Amino acid sequence: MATTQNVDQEVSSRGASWRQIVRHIRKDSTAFFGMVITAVACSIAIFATVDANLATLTFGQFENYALANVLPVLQNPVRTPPPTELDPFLPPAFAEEGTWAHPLGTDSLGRDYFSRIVYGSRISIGVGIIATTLGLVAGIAFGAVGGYYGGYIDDALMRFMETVRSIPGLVIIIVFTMFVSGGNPDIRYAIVGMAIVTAPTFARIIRSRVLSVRELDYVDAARAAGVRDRNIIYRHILPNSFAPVLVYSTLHVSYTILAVATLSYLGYGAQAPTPDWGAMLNVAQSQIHSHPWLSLWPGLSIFFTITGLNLFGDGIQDALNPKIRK
Amino acid sequence: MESDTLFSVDDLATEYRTDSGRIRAVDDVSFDVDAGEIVGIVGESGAGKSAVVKSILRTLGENGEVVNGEVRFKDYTVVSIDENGRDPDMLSDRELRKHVRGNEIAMIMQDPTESLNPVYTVGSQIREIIGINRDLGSGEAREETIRVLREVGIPEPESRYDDYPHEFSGGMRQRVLIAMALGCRPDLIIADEPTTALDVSVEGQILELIRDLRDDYGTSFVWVTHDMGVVAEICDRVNVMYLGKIVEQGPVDDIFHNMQHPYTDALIDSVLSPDERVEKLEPIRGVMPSPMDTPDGCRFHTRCPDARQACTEIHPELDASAEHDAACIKHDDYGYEQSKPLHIERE
Amino acid sequence: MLRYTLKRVFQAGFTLLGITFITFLLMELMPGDPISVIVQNQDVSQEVIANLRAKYGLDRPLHERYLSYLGGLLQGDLGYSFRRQAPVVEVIKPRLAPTLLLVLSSFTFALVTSIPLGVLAGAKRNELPDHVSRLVSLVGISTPEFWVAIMAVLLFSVHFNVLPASSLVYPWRSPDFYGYQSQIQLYVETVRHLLLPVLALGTAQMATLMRVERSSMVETLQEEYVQLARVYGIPERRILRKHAFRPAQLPIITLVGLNLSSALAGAVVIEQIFQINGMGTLFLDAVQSLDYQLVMGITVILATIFVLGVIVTDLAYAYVDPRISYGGES
Repeated sequence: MATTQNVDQEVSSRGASWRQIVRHIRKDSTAFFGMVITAVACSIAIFATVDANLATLTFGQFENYALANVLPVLQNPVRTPPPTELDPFLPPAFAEEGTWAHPLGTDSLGRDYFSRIVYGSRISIGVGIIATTLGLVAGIAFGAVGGYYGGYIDDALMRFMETVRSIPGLVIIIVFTMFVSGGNPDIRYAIVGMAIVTAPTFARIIRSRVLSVRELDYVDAARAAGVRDRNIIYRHILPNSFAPVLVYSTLHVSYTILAVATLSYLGYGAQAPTPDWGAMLNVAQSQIHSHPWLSLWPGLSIFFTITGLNLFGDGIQDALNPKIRK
Repeated sequence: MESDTLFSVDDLATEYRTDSGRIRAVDDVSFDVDAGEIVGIVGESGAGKSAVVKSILRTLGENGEVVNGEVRFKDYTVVSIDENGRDPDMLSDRELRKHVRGNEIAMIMQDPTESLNPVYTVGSQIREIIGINRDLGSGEAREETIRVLREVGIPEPESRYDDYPHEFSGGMRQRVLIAMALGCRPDLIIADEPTTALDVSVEGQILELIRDLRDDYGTSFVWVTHDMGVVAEICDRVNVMYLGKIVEQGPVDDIFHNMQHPYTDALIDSVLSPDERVEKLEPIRGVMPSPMDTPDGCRFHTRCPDARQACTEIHPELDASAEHDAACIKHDDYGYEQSKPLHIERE
Repeated sequence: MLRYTLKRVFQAGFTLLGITFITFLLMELMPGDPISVIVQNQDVSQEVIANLRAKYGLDRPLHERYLSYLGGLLQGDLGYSFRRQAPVVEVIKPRLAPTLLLVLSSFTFALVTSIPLGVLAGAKRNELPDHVSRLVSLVGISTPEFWVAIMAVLLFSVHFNVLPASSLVYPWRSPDFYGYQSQIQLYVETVRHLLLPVLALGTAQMATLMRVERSSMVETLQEEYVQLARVYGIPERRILRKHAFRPAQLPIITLVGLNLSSALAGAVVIEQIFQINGMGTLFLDAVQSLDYQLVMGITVILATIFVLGVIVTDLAYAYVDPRISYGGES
């Protein structure tokens, strides 16, 4: 994953534009591939019309459902309910006993795995975007303020950022969750924690841009002409930071997805019955001897989504890298 | 090749592959270097000077390709390519590396800061190069290194041997590079704008050093620069390049007093001449066109104050074997007088 | 060099100070104070509570408490875990070595694999080794560590049954402790037990490092001084080995330091999966049992390890790059 150091140095906002990115992506096949995957993942998350109800039943509601028509599934978790018609065209794993009604099988409670995976993508991608956006906003605020005003404020903010960066992200989020929830973790705390962990890096990018732009003549002129500080920041500084922020955001969404999956795996992210890939992996792990397939799908989903985002993010970075641009 | 000629370039043509197509950076360039001569190649940036140098030493990189020409050094056929491809006489990469690069032809590059490896001491870098090229053991090579450092004017060479490049000033670093070149005892040194990045006073010292070395050792130089002043100071002969072609060549004195090509005239005017008390610098009107878009006829006609109608049609030739010649119809008279003057655009 | 070292240590000190400050503040924020936690349901008079408070110094003003906390830290006192009825330091101590063993081994694994592969990929840009390396990198970065662990266990432990699925063997113990016949067996078993966890933890590290190594190599090979070496007839092999290799390592060194943070985070998960009794599992247990003191103590330790690691890598960087330590013109 690109670290902030190289992202900040290698990417230039000068001449950066959407057209440039598009042009590069079309040329570079891996980046294009990444973009396709990302688009697919996002579309699935947004437009999936599978029966989401099936994926999030609470245990109580489920009992009724189960008693009604899923008892056989409890006895044989990976098998589907006796199909009304035998349909052998299934993913090879389920060739013998599965049906298309449950393309990826079902989990131990008989819930359709496919819809859980799909719904999980909403969670993962959604959380990724939300957390990154929050971190971005906070980071911009801190970075811009610190860089622009300098002095004590800057020092204090920088010290704070340094401190946050010295502690492993996962640890911060878990500790944060512990303090705030007092033992009742929830995905919302994870999101905020993630934002806290993200902010320093964005702050750093913005701050360095602010510092370099602050001394420019036209900023002085603007200030002398009475333009308000806030406007100066908006009109002059932010556009200049567009490139590294964009690259880093994309890559950070993928990082967040990974981190949230890990948190959920440990039990600090999404809580049952919400289907989160990490949490699903946790459950699947105990079934690994009897039903190995349960661990496969969530892992692959995470893998593909992150790969797509990484390739796409790399493509954007290459597109905006002045050394590679002809 | 005449007996005195050490090094010759004939009809060299080099192209670069870019996103927008192939660019001919060097077009039909020919010149010779005799033993003990300092030959200059002068022109604005983008004229193709560096491309010539890279083609000679075959360091063009992935996107460049010599498409035609011969480069001969002593008995070696460094480059020999025509439309049928490579001549089998041409040195292989391995032979080039072993026999020519370093030991016979050395190079001084433009930016002394970037040309030295920052994590190794200056002494060890020179020692390695001298050792490999002159086949010396490490003890001998070290002695040679110190000797050559002293010769280029670096004080206390024994202790400076263990210093790192960043501990030297710009001028000192360039001396180090010269020492490196010298230490290999080559017969030809190619210098690519070595004084461009230096202060004028430091530049003067370096140029004096070069002259002394040439006098003491008889080394020949190919000196690439954009500064006519440097040419005047140090070169015996000079080739003026524009857009990939040589537009004038000849002995330096001759050129300065009897310049034939308007571009040469303009180049000379753009530096302060030591002879005349010129008060202001005259920049050359216009910009050099992109090599993708070379003008018809004489390439310089778009900026030439003496351009005539004929200049857009006729492609002037340069006689590389003459003592002094220019690629301009003004002197060759292809109906120049009769042709109408061209209106060139003012900037 | 010495001055540079001192400078870095001084800077690190500041960061650590900041960490202690935040840690201290957080502990102030925790619901209730230790006394009420202990005293929860018991029927104890206010006077006793007040006495306990005074005994533990909980009634003094904020800045005093911070200073005494700091003083305690410097003496090695990280507080007292009321849940476990033991000083935090004592609880953490035995857990330190396993975590360090795991983390250092995975870094070693990552460096040993990523550097040669990255160099090769960079030298043969756009050829087969490069494509393979980029593929491997991509897979390594995109795969969650715990999934790699699960899959690895599935493959090597369950399916092939060649490697153990849990816990570690510690080479500093005596062979008898585990019932082994000899020292050699002890070491072999150490490695055997480390393989899967290190693989899981090290894959992501390796992927990141390999990428950076590759791009650093590509960049270095385009530097002027490399061109110069070529122009002077130095064989390509030697250029790769001597001229390009060392300068190219500089970004890697910095990266290793920064990666330490994510490695520690990864260790938390990996320890959990493999039931390793290191700081990671201790951390999770502590959070689970809401043992605030212990949690903050572990946090401080982890942060300190990271800061020290960064200093070490910075010093290594300065050692390799003479510009940092010598700096300036004579």
